[in-house]
Amino acid sequence: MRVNPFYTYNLASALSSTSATIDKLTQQISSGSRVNSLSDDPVAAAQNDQILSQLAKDDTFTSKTSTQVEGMLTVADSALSSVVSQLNTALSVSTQGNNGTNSSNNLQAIAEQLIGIRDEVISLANTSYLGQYIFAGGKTSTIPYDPTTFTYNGDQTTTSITTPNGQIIQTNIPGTAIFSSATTGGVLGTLSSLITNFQTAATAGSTSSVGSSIASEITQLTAALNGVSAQRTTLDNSLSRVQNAVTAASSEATQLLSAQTNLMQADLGQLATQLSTTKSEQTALSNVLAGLGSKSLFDYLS
Amino acid sequence: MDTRDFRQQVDPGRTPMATINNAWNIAVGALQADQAALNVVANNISNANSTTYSRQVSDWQENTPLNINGIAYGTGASVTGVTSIRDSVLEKRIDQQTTDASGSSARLSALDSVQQIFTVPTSTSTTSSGTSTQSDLSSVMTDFFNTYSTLESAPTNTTYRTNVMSAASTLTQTFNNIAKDLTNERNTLDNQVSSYVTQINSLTKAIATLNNEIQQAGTANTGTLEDQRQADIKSLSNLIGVSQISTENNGLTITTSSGAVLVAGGSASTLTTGKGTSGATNSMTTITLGTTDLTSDLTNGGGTLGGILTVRDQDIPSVQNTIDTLAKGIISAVNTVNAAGYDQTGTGTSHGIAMLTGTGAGDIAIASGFTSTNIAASGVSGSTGDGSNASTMASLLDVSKAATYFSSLGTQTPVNYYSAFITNLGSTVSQVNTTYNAQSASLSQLQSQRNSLSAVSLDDEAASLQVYQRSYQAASKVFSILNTILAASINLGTETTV
Repeated sequence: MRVNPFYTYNLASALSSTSATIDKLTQQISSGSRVNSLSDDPVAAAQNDQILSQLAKDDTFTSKTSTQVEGMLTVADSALSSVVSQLNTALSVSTQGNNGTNSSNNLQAIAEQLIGIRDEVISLANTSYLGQYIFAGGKTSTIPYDPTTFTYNGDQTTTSITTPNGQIIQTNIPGTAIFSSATTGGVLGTLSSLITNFQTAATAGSTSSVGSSIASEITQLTAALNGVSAQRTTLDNSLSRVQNAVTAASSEATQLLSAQTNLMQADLGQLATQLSTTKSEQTALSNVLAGLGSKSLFDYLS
Repeated sequence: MDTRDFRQQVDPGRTPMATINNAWNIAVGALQADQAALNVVANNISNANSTTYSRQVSDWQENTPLNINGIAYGTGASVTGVTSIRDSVLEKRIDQQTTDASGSSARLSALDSVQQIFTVPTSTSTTSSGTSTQSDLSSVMTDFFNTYSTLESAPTNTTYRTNVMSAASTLTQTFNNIAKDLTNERNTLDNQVSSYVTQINSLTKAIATLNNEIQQAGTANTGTLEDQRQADIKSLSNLIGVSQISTENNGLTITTSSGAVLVAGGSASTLTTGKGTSGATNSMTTITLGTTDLTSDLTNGGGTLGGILTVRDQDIPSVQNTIDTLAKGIISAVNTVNAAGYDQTGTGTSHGIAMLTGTGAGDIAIASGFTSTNIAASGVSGSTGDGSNASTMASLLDVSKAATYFSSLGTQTPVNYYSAFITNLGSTVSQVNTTYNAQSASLSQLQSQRNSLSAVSLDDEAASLQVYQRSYQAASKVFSILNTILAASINLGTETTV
């Protein structure tokens, strides 16, 4: 049986294919990734894209969106906390002023104190965070409350953010819901009425003419104060929902990262072993090629 | 020769000189035959390293015996010709397998270049503005939509708006670059076509010339010419798929695998190149034979040219189509959502204008004059602080929005559509690779078979050399003995020098 006299060509092509294998293994080891081109593992490449996309969404939320929102909600909360303490002062001052034992000067002083409180409340209502008014509804570039006319220039839009899971969390409360309820006069309206009444009483010397009016306004103000506290709770709820969403997104991101790593990362131990095996294969083939030489019968005939 | 028989049958008066002459001629004939055989061996040895050479063996034949008075006298042997040892069926199979393997190889290497355009993202790290550090299309699309998610939390924030614009710019540029790379790949392949056509034309001309020479040689030994012709056919099979039809007088008609005649007898048809004007070959090089456009036939015929044409006219246009569809889908969805919201121009009561323009990946761009104030983040007229429309835009990545906004993508999200595409492309490349490996292995095996039959083995030739050398020595020994005998007979039985 004749054999292929050019068998060394087959050896040579086997040698070059071991070189190609070594090339590929080295590339995987140096990049650390099992999949360096689409054909290495097409399905893994596709899954990788999808995982990274979801991961990026979670990362965006935890690192950018949520910090912006948490900052805003915290500032809103502290503004409302100050409003509550101002209103408490207003209530105690008004109640004391209405007990019938105050002089004209006292009543004038009470009126001025209430003016100070109202101004402070308006300035709190016009709180801004990073250049945007937080109690203006959707018109965040406009001052919500005119300091002289006390008219509301914002709107009723509630803003929100969407978490990666699709949860919608309200992030603001329009000013009117806190400071000026239409029917009962709200915080600002009631304060203004109290101021007017105490000024009248100061001129008259006593609260007798306006006493009942003041009393009902004190009741309204108490109700308004409770309203502010309730809205503050709403904002606090939003804040804790955002924080929970951040925790959930972070833990999802960790799991996704782990899945992506398992999918794509090269198994260095296995690759090193394969590389070593292929290298010895290459050495063996080279030695065979060298050893075979090109001897034929001619070398032995005299 | 048995001289006892001879003396019984022939008139004893006849002289023995005729017999010696006859033996003399036989010895001379043997010397010539051995020389011819040695020649063949020497030829084999000198061609030993040529991979297209088929080893030759000398044909020995006994010469017609001489009939004298009804008795047959042998007249020796001679070398009547040389036979090339080749199996034409095996060689045809090798040609076919060569076509298949080189076609797969060319397609594989072209497709590999195409798939390198679509990099595999590995890192999950982000830059300071929150965008991915990866430049593949999936990461860039995700970044774009995610910038809206941040914008939702502070719709009037100018930094966030700028981030949206720059993510949009990166997205359109990435699409543009992909389109450009694909066009470049296609043009690179196209540039190779005319040089292959030139090669094909010179090969067919050479084959036709050889056909002619083989025919004119008639009955003389055509082994070498046939080797050359086979080598040319093998080179041709490397380039395109051909069929060979044997005709009379050892001629070969070569046609493409779809039947267009390239070589018939001594004449070869020339292929010409032109520029396509429509369909798959629009503005690409076309190949014509006479008036027939052979481009699509050659594409399907295999060989290096077939492989290149397949990628140029089928694989790449398919990829371009998919990427264009994705770009168009995004343009349409983004513009729809932006138009539904309210931007920051004027009092915030105007609907958004179209944000992206373009007919595909090559020309997708941000609409000229579109700035960050045109981003329609608000869903409420006059409320610039509302971000509900930005939320809608960000949610275009979600499966829930795919049916409404991405019907042109088969109701898949952009990321899912893209990942289905890369699975497809990766699988195609992987499959061509597997096919190529199998075909290449099969070709190696066929080559080994052919070589074991037709290639020169130096061991065999050395042995033959020894045999013919001894045979020559023997014949020359006979010659010198006969010389002595003839000298003796001239000197009438006395052995002296002549």
